[in-house]
Amino acid sequence: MVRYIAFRVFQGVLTSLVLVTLVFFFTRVIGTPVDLLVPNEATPEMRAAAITRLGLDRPVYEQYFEYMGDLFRGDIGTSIKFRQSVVSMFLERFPNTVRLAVTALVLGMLVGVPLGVLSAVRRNKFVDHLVRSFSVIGMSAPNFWVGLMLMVLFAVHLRILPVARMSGFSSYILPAATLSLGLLAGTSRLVRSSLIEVMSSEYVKLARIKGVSASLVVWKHALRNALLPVLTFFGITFAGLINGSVAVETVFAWPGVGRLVYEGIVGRDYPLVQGCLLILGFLVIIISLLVDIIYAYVDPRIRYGRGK
Amino acid sequence: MTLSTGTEQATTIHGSSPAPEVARPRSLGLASRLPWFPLAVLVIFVFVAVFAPLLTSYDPLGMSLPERLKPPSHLHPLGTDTLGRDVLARLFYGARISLIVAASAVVTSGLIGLAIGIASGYLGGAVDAVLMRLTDCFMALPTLLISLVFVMAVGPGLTTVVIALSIVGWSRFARIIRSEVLSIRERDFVALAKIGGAGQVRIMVRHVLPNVFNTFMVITSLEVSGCVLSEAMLSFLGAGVPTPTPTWGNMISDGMPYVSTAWWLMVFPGLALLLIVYSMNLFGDWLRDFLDPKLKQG
Repeated sequence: MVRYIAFRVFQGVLTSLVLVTLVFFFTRVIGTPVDLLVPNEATPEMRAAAITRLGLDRPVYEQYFEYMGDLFRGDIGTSIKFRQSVVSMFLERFPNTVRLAVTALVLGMLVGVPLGVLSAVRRNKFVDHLVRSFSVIGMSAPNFWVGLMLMVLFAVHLRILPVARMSGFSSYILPAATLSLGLLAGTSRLVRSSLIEVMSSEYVKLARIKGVSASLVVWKHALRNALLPVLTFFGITFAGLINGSVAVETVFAWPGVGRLVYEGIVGRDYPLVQGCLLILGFLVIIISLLVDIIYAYVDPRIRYGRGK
Repeated sequence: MTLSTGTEQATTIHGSSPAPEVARPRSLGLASRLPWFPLAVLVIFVFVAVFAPLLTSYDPLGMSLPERLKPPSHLHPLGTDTLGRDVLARLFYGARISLIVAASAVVTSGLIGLAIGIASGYLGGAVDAVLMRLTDCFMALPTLLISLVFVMAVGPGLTTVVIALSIVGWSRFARIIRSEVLSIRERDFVALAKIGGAGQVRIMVRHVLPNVFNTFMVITSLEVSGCVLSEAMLSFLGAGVPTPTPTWGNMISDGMPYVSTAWWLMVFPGLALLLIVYSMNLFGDWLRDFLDPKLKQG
């Protein structure tokens, strides 16, 4: 177990390094850093000052190490437009994103798991075909568009839900439903295939021979084991929710990090977008690390196996 | 000849348990099982993209302020946008961007992934360890955001978007192809080639590459829909091919302020996206079941 955790931590550190290096490379090697990091309206003197301050006149490898040092001290950058540190702006918005993401996650699980079970139990029947088509459509639909369509239907025409912005509980419904769509589709697919596999295992057969009722076998004996792969899916899910929240928060004017990224793009605020990517990237790395460790704890085959 | 046998031993790699759904016998023939609906949609999509100028007399960039925000009519079947441009014409021309970006991005990332996957799986050892750790890194990162930052750093444009999607798109190719190569490496014909004195590069190119081709095609077909969606998303967020060039993504974002008044601005490009991506996914699933049923669990 210790070896496995050490390996995963190593992988996490490596991934962070790759992320930082990519961003550094984009900014300082491929891009024109002065244009990206200094406001457009800056005078030539201000630009020159910025070049010295940011060390842009020094060799790239020196810049790289200094950049790493800055990040390590928690200096992710300063927004051009808001003249505020990206970290503080991020922290201010982050709780809203978490609220929305958690609601979407819960919604996705509450609907996705039963759908998957239903689909597996009624395999190749009408319900199964229905659920599977729905999940393919769910994975194919661009979420920003689905959000807009839901908004047109429920907020503009039926007028039963608020159009956008965060307020009471009802304001969560449309964005969370939109954000959970891909997750819901993925979960139901995964639960279905995993459950079908588990249902043909020896212990499920044994339970049946013993006379355990069909529904109890499915919900208690089989589903528990079938949910294991869903757990690993969680790490990927989180990255997916982060990606999705940019579009969904943009559509619903949700005051979260995703919307902040969008405002950064529109306002050509490169340090802001880059900083958000770095923080979100680190978060994704940490969460998938935790998920993998929990998974290894739950499933001894991972712990004692060859690793991944 | 070796194409169909290339995947036989792959089961042990892709999952410890056997695939629950037994592969359908191939003897049923290709035509009887062809997914006609998705195939038709994709053919129409390519046709529209290629022949866009012949299918509409409107200029996708031609503005006409008196004609602005007109609902669908016999003159403008899908209505006009905020600058009086014909939505149908923009939809047709937008298909070009989707097609070009998705095809180029999937081919680029596929080739990178293919090279890394084969090198990693065949050479093994330290090369494998380094390349696979790197692949894991890329699989763990929030891809859309990386593409976004790349586009912002370099400046928007067609090539930029293709590169942005390829930077993050190769890792799945590399992972799956590597596991495939691991089993191919142990096969007799590779051993024979070695005895025959073939060099490592020759073995990889002449003996391993043809055997992962089926898998490569399957992953390509499954990944291309992701590229279409990502391109649309980047355009929607204002980090895609810049306006006034019509893309389905920027058409939707242009329509956003008129969500309550001009529904036709967003409904049609979104439907087109949904239809294309849905068809690509169905076709990809079919191709996987047909060429490489073992991948099903992967």
